[in-house]
Amino acid sequence: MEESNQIQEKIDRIHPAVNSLIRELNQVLLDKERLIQDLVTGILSRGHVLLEGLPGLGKTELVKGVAHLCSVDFKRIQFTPDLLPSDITGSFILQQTNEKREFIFQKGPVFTNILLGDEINRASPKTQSALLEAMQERCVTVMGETFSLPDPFFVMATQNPIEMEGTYPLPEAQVDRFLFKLHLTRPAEGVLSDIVLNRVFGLPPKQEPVMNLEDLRSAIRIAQEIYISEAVASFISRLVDASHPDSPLAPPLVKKYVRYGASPRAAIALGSAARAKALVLGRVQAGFDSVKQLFPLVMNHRIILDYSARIDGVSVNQVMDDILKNVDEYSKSLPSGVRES
Amino acid sequence: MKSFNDMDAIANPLRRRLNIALWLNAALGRFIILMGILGAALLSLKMIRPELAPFSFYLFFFTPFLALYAWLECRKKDAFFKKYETIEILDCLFRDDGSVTAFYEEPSLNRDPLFYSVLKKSIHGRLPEIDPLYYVKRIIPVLLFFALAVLVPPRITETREQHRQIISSLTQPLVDKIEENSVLFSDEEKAELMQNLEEIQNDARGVSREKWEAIEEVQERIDKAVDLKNQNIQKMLSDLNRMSTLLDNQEQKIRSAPGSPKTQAAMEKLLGNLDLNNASMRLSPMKQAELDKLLNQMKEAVDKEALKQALGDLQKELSSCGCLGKEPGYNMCEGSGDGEGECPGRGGISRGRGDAAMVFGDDKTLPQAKFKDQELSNRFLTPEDLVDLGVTPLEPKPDPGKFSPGTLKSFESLEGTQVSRTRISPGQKDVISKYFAK
Repeated sequence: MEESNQIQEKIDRIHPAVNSLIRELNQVLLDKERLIQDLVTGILSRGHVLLEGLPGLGKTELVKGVAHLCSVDFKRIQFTPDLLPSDITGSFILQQTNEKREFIFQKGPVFTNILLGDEINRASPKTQSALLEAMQERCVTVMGETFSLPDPFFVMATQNPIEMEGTYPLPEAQVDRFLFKLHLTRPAEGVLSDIVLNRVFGLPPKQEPVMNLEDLRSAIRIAQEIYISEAVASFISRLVDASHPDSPLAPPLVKKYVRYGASPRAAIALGSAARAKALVLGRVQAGFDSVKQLFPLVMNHRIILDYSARIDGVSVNQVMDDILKNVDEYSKSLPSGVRES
Repeated sequence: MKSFNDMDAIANPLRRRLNIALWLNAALGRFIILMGILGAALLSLKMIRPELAPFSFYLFFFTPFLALYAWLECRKKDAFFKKYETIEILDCLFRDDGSVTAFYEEPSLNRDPLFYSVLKKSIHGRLPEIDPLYYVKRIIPVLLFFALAVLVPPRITETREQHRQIISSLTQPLVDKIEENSVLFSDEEKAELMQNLEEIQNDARGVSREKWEAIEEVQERIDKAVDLKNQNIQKMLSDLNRMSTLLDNQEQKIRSAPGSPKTQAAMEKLLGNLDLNNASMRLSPMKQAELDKLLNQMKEAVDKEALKQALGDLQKELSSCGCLGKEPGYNMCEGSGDGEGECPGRGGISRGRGDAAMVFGDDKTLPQAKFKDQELSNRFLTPEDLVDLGVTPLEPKPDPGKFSPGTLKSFESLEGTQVSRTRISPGQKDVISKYFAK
């Protein structure tokens, strides 16, 4: 009982800061409450986020806003085809001191709390893979020596869906390391006029940080302590299982169009995200509603469709909708002859 | 996993309701099957053994056992809802936020003392309900089928006596025919026919195809005997007619001053035929005696007039030799009309024997005829009638392409190595397959 009360108290303590973060981010990117809530959910579940959208929609500003409001270290890499892995991780350089020369490790931009990888699909696969270890292990190994990355460490990569010429699409293994793939859409006409009126030179309004590094760490820790019931865990596992065409739970669209379903990492990610979402909502438990809401964000880059989907014009979103429609929240379906009121 | 009374109080009614629905579903399937079997059994018995049909209603006694069996099966398969599964449903009905399941699993998480009362109020009237229409819709078709099976009248079975009556109605006319024409059969033949008919009548198997065939066979034998008699009478009449014709050409007395040797020989031959036919006519003894007497009178006639008189009497007597109560020979069918099959060569499907003389009517022009009849002035073709319509440079050849789809188009491959690809109609296929199946 005492432990439960402690969690509730912790949530009560950190929840206002989280709310403030969301509120302030809404000033950075107007009319994108849902996207911002999802981004914060991703941060609190300690996941990397892939932002996809057309140029000029405010992806970079959003990430910079997160770093500023959380008072965390932020670095940015503009991915280009000639970018080298050492440009990301850093390298040993020979340095002359008073008495001797020695190799000193010059840390790359990856040694930061929030790393913004702008247009990540423009770098060569070798450079992209340099991020792999950093993203999963949260450490970097250079010339046999391993360096831990700061805690927390997030990669927020942006990707431009157009101008695909001269790009290297992210391999599945790397895409799977991103918790969410968020799509930025253009603002509505009314919002656009607000932007024109208030954003001179495109600069965001001046804001004060709403939390510090310790608060962010604490929020992430608390998010992992959120209670997730067996029923919700079972629902997550059924959803992930249903994304595989050979599963008995798979709905018709999955059976017909999906080549590879989501990995167990997706189930873990969905569970973590549901917990983080509960923190964002100020709850002590993860809920079915959060799972359903987060399912498309976690799955849209993890479900691989086959060629027939492209021929028939079936998108991943349609497949995910089909999964959500066909997988019951209850582990045992209502018997036939019983109608829901 | 912990539970507590507040949650039990809310979850148990739903759980009970869901379990009843599960049990009803299991019982419904079996009830439908039972009613189907019952209806089918009832119908079958009504058709095959109507006296046993009421016994099929005993299957109704299985109904309570069926309900019990459905319940036991649900238990055995662990199909009934557990408390935890009911709470999942409550959670989704409430806020869908995982609070009900989380607080059920970890009650200490709940800090709201009013949570259960809010939950109870929130789900009040929203709990899933058993839909009676669902069950009614499924039961109605099978009940209709059963009602139909009950309403279908049982097949009326014939008693042995009814069988005997039917068979008697078929055999009695034959017995009468045999009796009426007993002179046509020898004693052995008559006894055999009678025995056959008696066996058919006494057979206890009812009216069957074999019996029909046996009766038909007897009928054929009788008809054959009657036909033979008629043929003989006809031959004799024919001879008498020829004799009458010969007499018309004779000027003198037959016996004392015979005519030409050729005529004499013909007369002798005809008299010999009359004797032969007389012997094979198989008339009644009385009739036969009369006919013999007239024949002798004719043979002994000394002049032409006496002979013609005797011939006329004999023809008259022969014409009165009825078979089966009717006039013998073909002369009985003179006149118009199809008749009812009693006249050979006339009538519909029962028009009689195929070897009967054909009766031609007047010439008719068919309404659909392409060419009209035209009477020739000189009753034969004149050169004027034979006009060339045109002259072809070569001898005309039939175009295989213009043949109808059912005909063979080409006769070139006569070695038997090639297969004719001519399409044939389904009707023809059927005939061909039947032919080769023999």
